[in-house]
Amino acid sequence: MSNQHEEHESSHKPPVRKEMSRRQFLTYTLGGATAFMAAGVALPMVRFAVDPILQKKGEGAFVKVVEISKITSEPQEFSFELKQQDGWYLSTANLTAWIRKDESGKIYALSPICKHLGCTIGWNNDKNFPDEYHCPCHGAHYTKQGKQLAVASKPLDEYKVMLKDDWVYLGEIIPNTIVK
Amino acid sequence: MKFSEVEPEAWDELRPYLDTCLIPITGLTGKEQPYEVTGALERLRDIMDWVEIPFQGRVVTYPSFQYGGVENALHINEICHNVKRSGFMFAIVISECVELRAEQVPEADLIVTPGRFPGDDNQAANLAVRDEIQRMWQNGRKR
Repeated sequence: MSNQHEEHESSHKPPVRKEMSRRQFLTYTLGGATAFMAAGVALPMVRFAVDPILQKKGEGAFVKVVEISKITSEPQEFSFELKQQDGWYLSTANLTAWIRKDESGKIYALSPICKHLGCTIGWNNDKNFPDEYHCPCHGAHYTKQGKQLAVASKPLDEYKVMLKDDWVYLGEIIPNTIVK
Repeated sequence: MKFSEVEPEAWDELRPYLDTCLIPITGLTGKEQPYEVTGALERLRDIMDWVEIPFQGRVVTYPSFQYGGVENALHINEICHNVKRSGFMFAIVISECVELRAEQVPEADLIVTPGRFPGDDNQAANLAVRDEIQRMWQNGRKR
């Protein structure tokens, strides 16, 4: 009797299904489709935004400036254009360098920007300071190697130099490595 | 440097070195088409480079007179006077298209226009302006 009763009770329990319910199926399907569509929209935008970071920096980092044969031990001023990419903004900067070769024949290029307050220095442009770079703004002056002699607290910066196929190429500006 | 680049806390330290004020005059009339306004501003910027780039450690560029030209001479002269009263030693007026005479702006220590610094190329005028500014400083108080 009791067994019959238990059988009767168990026959009224809802059947336990191991497979996915219809509700779960619809939730997963709609959620997945929504995520897929959102990713389809968002990923190209993210890729677009970070594109400048992913670009390889090739030989554009160096600019052809002057033939090696034209470089003397006397500093000479050369102007050149450098294409600069700042994020999405591409601009052309007109730059100047003072290039010479030292006693051992090593070629180096100095930036003309005074390390005091950023004016433009010149070579031999003040008769009181012969054979020196001189700043017309506040009188800072520098040796041939760019070593500061007055007013400025640091030596002139220099450009990275690359010699290739009888030409001098200049790259980014770095702190002076010539002055000991 | 531009006036906006000077931080309030750095000004006391910089003031002794930045003794020259550059006052630009665009010279617009209001009759220009938008692209002509752009062109006028670009041409003014190009000649301002003659002064701002080589002397950026000693020259502060103040906001421009955008509209009006010679008829504003009195006002421009008054501004030159005021900037010198505020502490600047020298005032330079610069314009691409407004040709002011020295007697119209006696408070200006130098007037820079393409008409005053003609040259076969931009480089020649650029160098002439550099020389003239250095001469102005040498004739004034030397720092």
